[in-house]
Amino acid sequence: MRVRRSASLYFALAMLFGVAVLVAVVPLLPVYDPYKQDLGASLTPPFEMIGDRLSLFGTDQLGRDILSRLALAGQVSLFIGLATVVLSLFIGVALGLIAGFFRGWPDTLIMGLADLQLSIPRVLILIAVAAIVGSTIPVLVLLLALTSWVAYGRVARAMAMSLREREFVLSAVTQGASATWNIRKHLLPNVMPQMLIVGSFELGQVIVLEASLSYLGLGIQPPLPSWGLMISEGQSYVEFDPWLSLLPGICIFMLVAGVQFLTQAFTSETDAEGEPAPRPTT
Amino acid sequence: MLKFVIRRVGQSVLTVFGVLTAAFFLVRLAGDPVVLLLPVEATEADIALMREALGLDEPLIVQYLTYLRNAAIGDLGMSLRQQSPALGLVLERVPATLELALTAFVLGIVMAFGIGITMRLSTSRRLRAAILWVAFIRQAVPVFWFGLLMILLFAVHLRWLPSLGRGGIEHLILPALTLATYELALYLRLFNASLGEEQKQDYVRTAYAKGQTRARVILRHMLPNALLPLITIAGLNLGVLLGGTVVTETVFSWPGVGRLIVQSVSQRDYPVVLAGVLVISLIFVVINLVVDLLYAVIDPRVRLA
Repeated sequence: MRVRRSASLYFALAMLFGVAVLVAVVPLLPVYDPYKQDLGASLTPPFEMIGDRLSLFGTDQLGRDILSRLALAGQVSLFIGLATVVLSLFIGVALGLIAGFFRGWPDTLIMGLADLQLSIPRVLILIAVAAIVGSTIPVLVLLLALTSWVAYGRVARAMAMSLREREFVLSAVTQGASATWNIRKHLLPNVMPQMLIVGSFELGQVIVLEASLSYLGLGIQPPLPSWGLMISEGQSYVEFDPWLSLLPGICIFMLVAGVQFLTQAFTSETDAEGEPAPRPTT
Repeated sequence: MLKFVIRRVGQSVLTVFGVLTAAFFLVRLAGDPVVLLLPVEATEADIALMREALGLDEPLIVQYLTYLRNAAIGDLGMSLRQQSPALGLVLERVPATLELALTAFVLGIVMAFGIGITMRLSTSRRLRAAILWVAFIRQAVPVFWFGLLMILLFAVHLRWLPSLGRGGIEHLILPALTLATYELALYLRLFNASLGEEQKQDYVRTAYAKGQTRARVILRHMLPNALLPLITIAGLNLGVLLGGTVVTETVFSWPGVGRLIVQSVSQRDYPVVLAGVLVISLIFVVINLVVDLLYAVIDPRVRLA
């Protein structure tokens, strides 16, 4: 993997640095309190004084400090995004390698399931299940992971199918190595780099999905803040207090764009003209 | 070809069957369907009555078969909030959703086509890079927030367009643009990449060697070949578009299936939620089927695969 010192790298680092400061440094500040309501100071615009202290990003309709809420929401989003990527990578790699190494009925079964999932819009599966099962953070992570393993699974399967014909695997097989040993020692290390690239593409998608679900009221439940939920709460005030929905949107953008552009800089998938390489979304 | 059609149609039927089955077991897995299906304020007597009415005293397999039979004749249960069949409520909203999704779909393709060609015809690398960067940045913006930005700019600030509801063409512009630009970003990048791929081919060099003009090589030789991947991705991406419609409808209070689903969730009207999800899935499966069959007509290699 080669890092190109390109504009996209610096842009990505700037975006991610902003998010890192928000989620790591803001909670250390003395003014940090995402839950304290102050109805007397509700809907304070950014950069105005509340009493004797400056309110950097203003307050929401209940007078809660927006900066603090953005920070906590960022931690929640990052946690859900990373946990989902780890879990779905695990599921996807396991199923993909099994399908690609054994072929036959396990392959038919696993890829049939993948095709079934791909034939329904992902958001709809999430809405239906979240509506009926409810949405706590563990449920959300599980749901997002179960709907996003296919991306890893398909790539892992394709790679396993070509790897199993290679000499080093064939020689291990003829010497009596078991399938599990082969998968663990020979296939897994070879597919992991590719899986991490898929994972970084997926991270942005998962974060947007979580924000969309929260926006629809099916993700993070109040009083816990979430960027998507804050945008939806702010939408009623969009005419006179637009910052309520603008600020959380900027946070989502910084995180997603940061991850996207960083992946771009790390993969050499750019064409000769330094244009970002296209990829289909799931 | 007939074999391909039969196999592909069979696959679609299997998918619909799979979705129906998943929906059935999802409701059962989530707990007592009666408690789930009834409003919170239901009494013991209501629960017993409903249990009998729904045939929940029957074995699971019998329930499942009854459910499939009912679904096959279009009976997906009654809405819990309005005294009418869930499917009917959903079908009323389908035209609005299709209007929005198709407008956005066509708008996205047409814009991608126009801008993509312009990009290739122009000799300015900066212009091309700039357009692609904008497309890349657009892809990092969630649909619902982009919609809100559009409302803020065109409805609140400039007061050019209405922000909510469905009506004349002026109501359609903002939600359709919101959806279309997301698609556009993806299409543009793919279209550009596939044009770039074609540019390296021998036939392009031959065409230039024959002394043909740049415009003619691009429009007559490269364009037809570069269109195929665009059509495939556009078809595949309809799922994302339909999913995006659900969110966009909520942002713009567009009275489509997506908004109905989201409203029904907050009213705990589960039969309507499931009916909505099933209908959108069905639309999606049918569109995918049509795209695949069309594709097989255009490109014979697909049939043989």
